[in-house]
Amino acid sequence: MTRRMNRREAITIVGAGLVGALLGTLLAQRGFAVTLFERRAAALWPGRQRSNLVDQPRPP
Amino acid sequence: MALLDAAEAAGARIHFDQRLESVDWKMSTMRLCNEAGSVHEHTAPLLIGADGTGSVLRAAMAQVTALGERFEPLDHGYKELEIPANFSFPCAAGEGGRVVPGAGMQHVVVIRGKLRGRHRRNRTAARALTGQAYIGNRAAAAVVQPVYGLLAVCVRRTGMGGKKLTMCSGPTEPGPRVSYPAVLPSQKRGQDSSASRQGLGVVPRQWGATLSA
Repeated sequence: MTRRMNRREAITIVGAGLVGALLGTLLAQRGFAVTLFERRAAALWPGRQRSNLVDQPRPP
Repeated sequence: MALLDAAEAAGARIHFDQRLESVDWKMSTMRLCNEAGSVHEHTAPLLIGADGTGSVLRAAMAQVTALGERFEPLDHGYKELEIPANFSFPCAAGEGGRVVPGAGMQHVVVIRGKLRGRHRRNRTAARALTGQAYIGNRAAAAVVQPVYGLLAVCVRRTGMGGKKLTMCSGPTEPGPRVSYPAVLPSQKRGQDSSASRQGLGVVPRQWGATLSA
């Protein structure tokens, strides 16, 4: 759905929490080259399941 | 889909275990350190801080200019942090940066260059900020304007530990007019409805739809 625009400006985001992840998503979808740096280790997000850094959808 | 998966799917690269140590504003470089202690530098002409209430980036900004921030702890464990909208910030190119208050409670963006009037004066929107963005010397209007849309991200903590995320997608195409919701989204200002349909899958069609998680 999202039209990717051909912009390759590099954007760096510090913090991949709620705001950072959302910003990164939106900017990447708009065609920017987004790099996110997160202080926490990936191991804290086991099996790529995320911690409470980012809201998980709750099962119905 | 979790938000980080969405970010990766959109093409963003995420580096974990990278703690921001310091920022060299003149050179537009940042020093990052991992748990093992190895340091590396990253050049970031456009740097957005979304590193929370105790933002390292904000501290790094405060080292080079007075942000005039006002900090007020609240009884129930939260705090209010206010950064006035106008201060000059030494960017790489020597022009002053500006803080643009986000529409949300926890969001502020520093955008170099001139912004249109009323955003800067919106005190309500300037409250309780935990994120900053610094847009360096290569940021053109094409970069800035999508960020305007992103400014309308509002993260509020609700009771019972929940978070309520209100997102308002702004204009995505560079254009002569930037419509930006000053406090709360209004239909009147969100004129570019075709642009508002773009963006994250959960971004509402209109300003101000709500995603509760």
